[in-house]
Amino acid sequence: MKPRFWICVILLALLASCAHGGGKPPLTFNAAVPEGWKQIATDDTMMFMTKDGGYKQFVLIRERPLAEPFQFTNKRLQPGMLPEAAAQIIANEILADSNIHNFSVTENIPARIAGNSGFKLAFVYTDADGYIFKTLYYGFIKGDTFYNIRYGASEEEYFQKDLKTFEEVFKSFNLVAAK
Amino acid sequence: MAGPNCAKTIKRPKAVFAVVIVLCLCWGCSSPGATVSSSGTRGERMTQLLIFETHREQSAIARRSTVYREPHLEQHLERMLVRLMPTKAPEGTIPRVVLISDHGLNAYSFPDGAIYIHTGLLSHLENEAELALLLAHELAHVTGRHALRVLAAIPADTDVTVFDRALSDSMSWFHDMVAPKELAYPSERLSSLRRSLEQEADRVGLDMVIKAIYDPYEALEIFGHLREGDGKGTGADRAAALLEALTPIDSAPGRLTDRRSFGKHLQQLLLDQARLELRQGRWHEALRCARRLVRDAPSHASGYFLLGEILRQRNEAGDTPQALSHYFQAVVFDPSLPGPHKAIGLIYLEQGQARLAKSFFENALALAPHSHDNEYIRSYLTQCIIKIEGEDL
Repeated sequence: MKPRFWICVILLALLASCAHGGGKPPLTFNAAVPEGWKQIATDDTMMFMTKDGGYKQFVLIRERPLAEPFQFTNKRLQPGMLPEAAAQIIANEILADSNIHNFSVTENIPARIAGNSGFKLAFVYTDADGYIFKTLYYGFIKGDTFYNIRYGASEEEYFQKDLKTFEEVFKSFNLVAAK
Repeated sequence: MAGPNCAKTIKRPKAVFAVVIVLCLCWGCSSPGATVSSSGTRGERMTQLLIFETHREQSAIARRSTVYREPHLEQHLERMLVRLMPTKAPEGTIPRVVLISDHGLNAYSFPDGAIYIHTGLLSHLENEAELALLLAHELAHVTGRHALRVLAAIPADTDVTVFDRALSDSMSWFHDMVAPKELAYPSERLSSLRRSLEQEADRVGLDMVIKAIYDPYEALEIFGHLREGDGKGTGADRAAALLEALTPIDSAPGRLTDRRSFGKHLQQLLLDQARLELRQGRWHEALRCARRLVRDAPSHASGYFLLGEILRQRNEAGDTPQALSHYFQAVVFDPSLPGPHKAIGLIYLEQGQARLAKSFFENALALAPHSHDNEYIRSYLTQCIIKIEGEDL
């Protein structure tokens, strides 16, 4: 019994180290970081990149399990959900955030994202510090994961200037392993 | 909003620290033994501090909340305030109501006469007398200058952040009982004062209600209705104490308010509240508001559409047939409303009935050719056509 017990303990320890020791799990998507932009390291399953700082412009690509609850709405994304319904939940989540003001959706249309059916939201909002952000938000559900690609800029000038760069990042986005 | 939020968390403590410093300076000026030489001067400084605090709190609320605007309801509330006001408002106060779009069961007042009411609380009221008691209670806080009395009772050496917390919540109506905040108060004496001020506001408020010829028994139903929303059974003692104080004369005939008329004033608010609750996925509350709306307005097409939306989006067992039934009701009451047509189309599409779905999507497009969601409807139509062509082959 004893050797078997110790084998179990070692196996469990190995499993635990796989789960925690390696930091965040590997991303299941790829995207190119544009020249002159820097990728900011985070503990979440996301890529965050900016050229002049997050308050000027940013591209945020994130994957999140569908089971992960949202912070402000109790609604849940579901596998096989229509893109329009998913877009509605995302808009509801942002609208329910008390740090976000003057939230206004300017576009909500179906979109193809790396060959997947999804949605494209365009919206503006003012954050708690009074910064006005203009954002493009693409999202789609694949299996049990929700992927989203966001481009945000605090001023129209920055938004327009880096829009083409974002489009390049968007085009480079691809899934490397389906969950 | 991950990017910008990273910076926000760093900025806030600085702002809070600055406010605390300013408040400490104000408090330092107002404490006896510093620059204050007479009680009259201290009173003036306290009043100034209250004005400062009132502006600060109201600005903070404006930053973090959404003011709810509904002109008809606001006019009705103003008329009620005039009816309830015993005499002229005290100097420096202008009684007025500010509605906050929020699901909370909360109302509070400020020394300048502003009475803040959360739409979630209003959506629970069933008659005008209940609303009158709510307003009268807050008016009693204003006319009795309760905030000043709380401020005067705070020891001069109290940590200003604790004082700040106490003041901001001191005038809460129902929320106080739901979320005990006794720990936030520096002393039992202050807690006791606060409780006695709430009781005083209850008594004075009920007196205002009776003088304004509302039925006090009908008014006291507010506690039962708020308990239903709270689900914790709070407020029973308060209602019982007020009931005991009533005399048989107070229930003179002819005082009962017209519930249908009150329901009319709340229709738009119930619709908007149901939408708010739906956005936040608070299904039970969303259903309560929408059901109440169609109960009060049985031919309210948007109310039936919203009921359908709540059930379709919740998508629990048995929800879809009910949702479909509500959508059809909405179409009956207002055939020109595009939303129900689209929603019926979505249900049929999901059930594989492409031909039926197609006709409803076409209706939706025809009814609102420039709607913001037409790109989606066209994509659903394409799916229908592909399916129909597949069936025909």
